[in-house]
Amino acid sequence: MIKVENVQYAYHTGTEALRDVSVAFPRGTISAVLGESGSGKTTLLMLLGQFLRPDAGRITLDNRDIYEIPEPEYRRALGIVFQNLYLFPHMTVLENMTLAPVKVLGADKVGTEDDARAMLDRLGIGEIADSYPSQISGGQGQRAAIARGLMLQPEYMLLDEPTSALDANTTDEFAAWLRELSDQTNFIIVTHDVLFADKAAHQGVYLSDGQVLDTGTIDTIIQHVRSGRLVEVDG
Amino acid sequence: MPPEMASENHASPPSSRRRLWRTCGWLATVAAGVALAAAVLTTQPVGADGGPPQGAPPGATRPATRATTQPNGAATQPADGAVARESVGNGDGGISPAVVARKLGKGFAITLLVAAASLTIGFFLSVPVGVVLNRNRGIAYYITRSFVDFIRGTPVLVQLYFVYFGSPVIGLHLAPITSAIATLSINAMAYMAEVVRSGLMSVDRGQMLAGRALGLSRWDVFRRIVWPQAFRIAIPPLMNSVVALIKDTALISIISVVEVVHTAKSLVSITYEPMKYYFIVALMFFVVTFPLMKLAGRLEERIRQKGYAHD
Repeated sequence: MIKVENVQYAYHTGTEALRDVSVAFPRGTISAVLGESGSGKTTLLMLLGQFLRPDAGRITLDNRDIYEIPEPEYRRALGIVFQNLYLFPHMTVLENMTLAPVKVLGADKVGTEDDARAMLDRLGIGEIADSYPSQISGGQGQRAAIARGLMLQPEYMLLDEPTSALDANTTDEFAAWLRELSDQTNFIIVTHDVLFADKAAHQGVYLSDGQVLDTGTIDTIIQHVRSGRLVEVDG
Repeated sequence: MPPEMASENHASPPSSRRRLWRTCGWLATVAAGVALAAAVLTTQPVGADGGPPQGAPPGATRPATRATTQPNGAATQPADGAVARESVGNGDGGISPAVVARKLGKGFAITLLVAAASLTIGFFLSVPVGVVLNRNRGIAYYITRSFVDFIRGTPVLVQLYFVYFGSPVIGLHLAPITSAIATLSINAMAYMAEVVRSGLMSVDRGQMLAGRALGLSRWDVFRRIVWPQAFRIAIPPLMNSVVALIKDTALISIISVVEVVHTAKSLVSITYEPMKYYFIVALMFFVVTFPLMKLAGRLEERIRQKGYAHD
């Protein structure tokens, strides 16, 4: 379980991005981090990704402080797919997927390529293996980026605004697809898209202005959002 | 062009036909350059062009000039048997084309050698320097930044003098050619580092984050992800630096490196035909730089089509 406990974070500029944030991401669920832009979602993502360090409080993975876990080990435990995907434009989708396993895990190149093709087939995007990122659609790119992350078989996977490149129909399809994958991977979805969170996630946290406004099952959070409670407090 | 052909071209911008035309275009231009150089080389002075050198009255030498001009253009020996003077000229201000070709060829080989050595050294130095410049903070950055700015903000000529005449002061007696390569390498490094820096800057920081998130080491992220993208973007401006440096090698004649300009200068001092020899030298440079300029343009277009700069 990943636990965020009383975390504070302020940028050099003095902006307090997170104030006393506590939230847990248990195994076996899809979690959503909800909130408007500027609410501190991305800062939380950067902290969870070991790219920033909290000023106070701690983040633990199975009761170990994540900053005490050696970086290579932590990277294998938690994958991240950024909002802009950042597929490597000079490599095919297949090369994007095999780079890290070969370089980081020292895996055999040919075997990894077979694994990657099998993974793409399983994810329903087998046809894009040899395409470059500029040649595929937003939805395919989103799946390709997740596939790239899944190659290292992380226990947790952070998805930053995964629906930003998807249209409404694809979003439903994508939520169902994530649910299917969730028996092997614990997804943490950072999103402002309440409808998508409702379809994809089980539980979550609602951030506003760097503070936790609500936490619990996704249904109760959605109810609170719909009743206007969270928005009122926000204002 | 018939309309259907035009639309076909429009449908596939980098059509092979267009590419072929363009290739033919610059090959033809280069060929024209070579032909022109050959033409100038084989043209004999006919008294009226080259002014007579001191101590060689024109009237006395004109017959010899005619004697060297033969229809097949292969004449190398003056008919009057002045074999001993062949290496410097035949005494009338005209030098046999073969001698000119050999001398200028040898000079240009030195030019290209200096350029190639400086470019290679300069490029390999420019990559780490560009990386430091791209960091934009820290003491290494400020030192490097100042050095690069200083090199870029001072004349190459002064730098050449500084290295060549200054090196003995600290006990280093550098040969002219060594001084030239050292100076031009540093110069190429400064300009190319700037290009490398802008290339690195144009790669989205997210590419680095994504690589790190996949567990790749900093080195692997640079080597496999950031550098290939930065380099592709940097190729066209790097080509411009290459062209600029090749042209700058002309300056090294000033510290007595016997390269092509130096050679031309001595030929002119014998023949008094500055237009002819400096034009030939200009053409020699152009034959090398023109394809590089065209190549830079084409690579730029290709990179734009692939969209690397935007991803």
